[in-house]
Amino acid sequence: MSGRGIALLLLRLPVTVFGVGTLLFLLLQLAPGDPARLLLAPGISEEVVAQVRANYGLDRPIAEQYLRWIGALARGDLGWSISAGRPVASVIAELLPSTLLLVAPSLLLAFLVGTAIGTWQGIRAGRADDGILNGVTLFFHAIPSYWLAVMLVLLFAVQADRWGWPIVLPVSGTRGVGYEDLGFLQQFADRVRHLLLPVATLTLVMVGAISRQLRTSVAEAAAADYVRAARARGLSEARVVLRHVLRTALLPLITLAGILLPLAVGGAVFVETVFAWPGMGRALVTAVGARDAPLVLGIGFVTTVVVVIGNVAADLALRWADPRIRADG
Amino acid sequence: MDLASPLIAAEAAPSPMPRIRRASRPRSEGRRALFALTLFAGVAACGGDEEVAPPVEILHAWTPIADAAPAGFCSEALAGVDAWMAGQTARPFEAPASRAGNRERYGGTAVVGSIQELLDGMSAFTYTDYISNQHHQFANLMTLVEYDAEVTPRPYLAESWELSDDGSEVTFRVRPDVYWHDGERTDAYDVAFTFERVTDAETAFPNSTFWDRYVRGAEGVEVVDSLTVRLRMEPHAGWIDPWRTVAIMPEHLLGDVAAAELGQHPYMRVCPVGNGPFVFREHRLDESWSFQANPAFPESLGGRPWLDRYVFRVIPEETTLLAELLTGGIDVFLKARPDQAARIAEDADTELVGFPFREVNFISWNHRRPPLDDARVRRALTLATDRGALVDALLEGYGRVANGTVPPFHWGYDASLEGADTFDPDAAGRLLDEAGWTDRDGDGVREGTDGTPLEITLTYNAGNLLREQIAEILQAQLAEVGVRLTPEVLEIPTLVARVLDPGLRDFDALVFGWVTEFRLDDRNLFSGQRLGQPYAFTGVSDAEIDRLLEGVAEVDDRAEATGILRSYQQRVLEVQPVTFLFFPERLNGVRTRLNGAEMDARGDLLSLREWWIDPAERR
Repeated sequence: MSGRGIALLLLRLPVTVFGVGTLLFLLLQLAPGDPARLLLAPGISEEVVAQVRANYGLDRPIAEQYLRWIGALARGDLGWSISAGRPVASVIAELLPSTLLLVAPSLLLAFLVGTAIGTWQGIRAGRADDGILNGVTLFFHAIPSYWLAVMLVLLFAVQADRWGWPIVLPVSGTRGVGYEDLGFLQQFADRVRHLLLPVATLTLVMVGAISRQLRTSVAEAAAADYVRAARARGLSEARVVLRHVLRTALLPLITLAGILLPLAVGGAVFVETVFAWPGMGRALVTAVGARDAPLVLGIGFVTTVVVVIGNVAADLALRWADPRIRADG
Repeated sequence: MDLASPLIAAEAAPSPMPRIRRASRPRSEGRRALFALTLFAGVAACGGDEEVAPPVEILHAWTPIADAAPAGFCSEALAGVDAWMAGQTARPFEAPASRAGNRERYGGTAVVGSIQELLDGMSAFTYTDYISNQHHQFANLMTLVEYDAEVTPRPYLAESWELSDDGSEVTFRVRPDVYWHDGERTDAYDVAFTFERVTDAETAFPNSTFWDRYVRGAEGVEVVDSLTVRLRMEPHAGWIDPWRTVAIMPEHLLGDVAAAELGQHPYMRVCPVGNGPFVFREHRLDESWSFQANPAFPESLGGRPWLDRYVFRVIPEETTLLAELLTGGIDVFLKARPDQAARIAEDADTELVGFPFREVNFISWNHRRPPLDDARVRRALTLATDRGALVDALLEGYGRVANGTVPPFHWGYDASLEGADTFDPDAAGRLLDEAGWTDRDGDGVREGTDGTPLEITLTYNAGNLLREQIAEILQAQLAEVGVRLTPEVLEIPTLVARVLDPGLRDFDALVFGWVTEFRLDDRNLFSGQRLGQPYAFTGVSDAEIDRLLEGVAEVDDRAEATGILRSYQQRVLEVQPVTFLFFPERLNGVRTRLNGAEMDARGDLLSLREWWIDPAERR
């Protein structure tokens, strides 16, 4: 890929971020509702509402609010979150690591397991085990993550406790009470225990999408002439699959990875809610409900940056991995 | 030795503030009996007056917190806490004499779970959130007074107070042994500072009606000496009630902060330095707040709380909250749903604590829109609503039918109104006939004289299951008398914009919940003089109601005020500005291992500093 092509791809970043930010800002202004009035206290008066509006700068013209936001953003200031009561940057700095801790291992596991299942199914397409795996992955792909999360809570906490299972998994939060008193290894174990159910939920719902995508491409690749030729040359089945089938079949996963990457920073709202996991998804929903424009814009900004980076990275990876795209320029 | 421990005494004493506990507690009762026997045996073995203190494992150390705080105000403020707590915990712990006989109660961590974050943090200046305010009152900060079970004020941060003969001045004497958690003594300057800020318009203190008759700002307050402060006001009813709920804030930390910036100050949610029974340790956004027992809490108020630590956890899904309660992840589940009550009550390790609360649910009719401007139509809609069935079906019986805003446990409640406007669809039909609404074309829906069908849109906010169910049941019930009710669900910001904006009031009817203070003041809701205020959404304007509401606000004498309140409740029933539905009980799930958790309309965390956990059952 030429330097000019890479430069054009990278140019997408500021343009897209600016465009999305402006669009988000305008959409928030169009939505009915006033953050000051959402204080919802029986004694609140119009005078108090007006004062709150003034204190947060919400009484300024929309154009001025927009220019202030853009100006602050240029200085690296994401503004003040009304719903969280602290700077937006501090909210994101606190929640982003939690979200990454939850989503990154889920994505990794989902790709590993999904690739393994999808490859197996693709090679054995049409056989009984392919049919069974098809049903299982379709089930997890189709059910809402919220429902699956609640079921896991009921099974691995409530029923496990009732039936006297040796391990009752924690169902909420990132760490247990008294965490700070534990030693390093105990802290690590505590974190892992808290991660098990939310990661399992996210992984299960994503495995379906990945494995089904891969099954199709592996099946197609396995039937290709060059694969038949490889087999005819007497190569072992493992070598055929690893060097010839997967090399082509994995290409769509690069695109899928680019699409799923924003999840790592945008959070998974339902899973975060059920497992009381403090993350970006929950914060965004709260912010929208509170008409907390700075926080919505801040999270939107970070997510957009990652979406663009993810897509640019996926494009670059595809060009590197697929000679046909390189040839097309 | 007196074997009547505070726990046993508290349970034996009758209380006028209603508390209803529903749970079979075989294990817990057994444990308590065993505990009492053990205590008896231990004391008997000692013989005579000599006491042997049982070994007690308590947290009497402080891990510094300032290093993890953001640089600037927070790191400096929390460094002060680190230094002071290090000094407090350097001395060996000695239980106050009043608690020495129960040393084994010291220790352990209690965890409370709630669906919602402490939205206002520790900001007494800008709070609107009930649970946040509970933490101001009972955990991290202190109010000047607290209420006893008779809803009579008693000293807390203020050791005494005196009202002038003409009711125009109150002088508070601040307790001399209360310290901010950085070692500064809490004094009259803190009270004066708090008063000046909450009465300053720029602070935007939400419950501004609290200060309607106080002289606002510096003119209204005088520091007599370092522990004595005088406030000025017009004589009025319930003047002391704000001082039960508005906590005193630290002048030495926030005195330089502009009023308009107080609500946004990092103190509130990142690094509060309180003076209450629990010292702030950590706030993990959307996850938890952690506090540690204050070893220097005044002995005259019981001294250090029994618990080592108190943790408030945010768990935004009710199913998960219930799972955490049942498996011991949390000790208290705040505000369980009625349909979860049976599950909590049937579990041997949990109990259901229900109590009448200060909330009333009603249907607000928009009087600006015909035919809802006709009192006969509004009464007919009330008579056509089977409110008893709503209590049974939606609250599973945990509540009672309402006929006004005054809660049943309040001294001003008019019990003679119980049974008024009970379900009577025939009477409702006759009233609608009388108002000119009859089914002229036989389609089951009444029409007016001009052929307009009797159609009403009932609005409620998204995400509130109870209100959704109310709307659905009402739709069916009112259809029986020929009224077509159409439920409409709106996202909260949209609903607020359409209903609370005095310039819009774009709705027919609204399902709403109204939480009163102990000092009843419905002027923002029903006064015709305040139609321009957000909560005057009914649009009712009745001179008699206005007169009585002003009387309620002015008369401080309880006997005289009772008469006015009763007249007010009767008049409201005549005018029918709304259809009152019910007073729901507040339901909490509590692990049986947690002792001393008294809860009533004064608060869920009312007895937090008396909570204790048997050593054998600690985490």
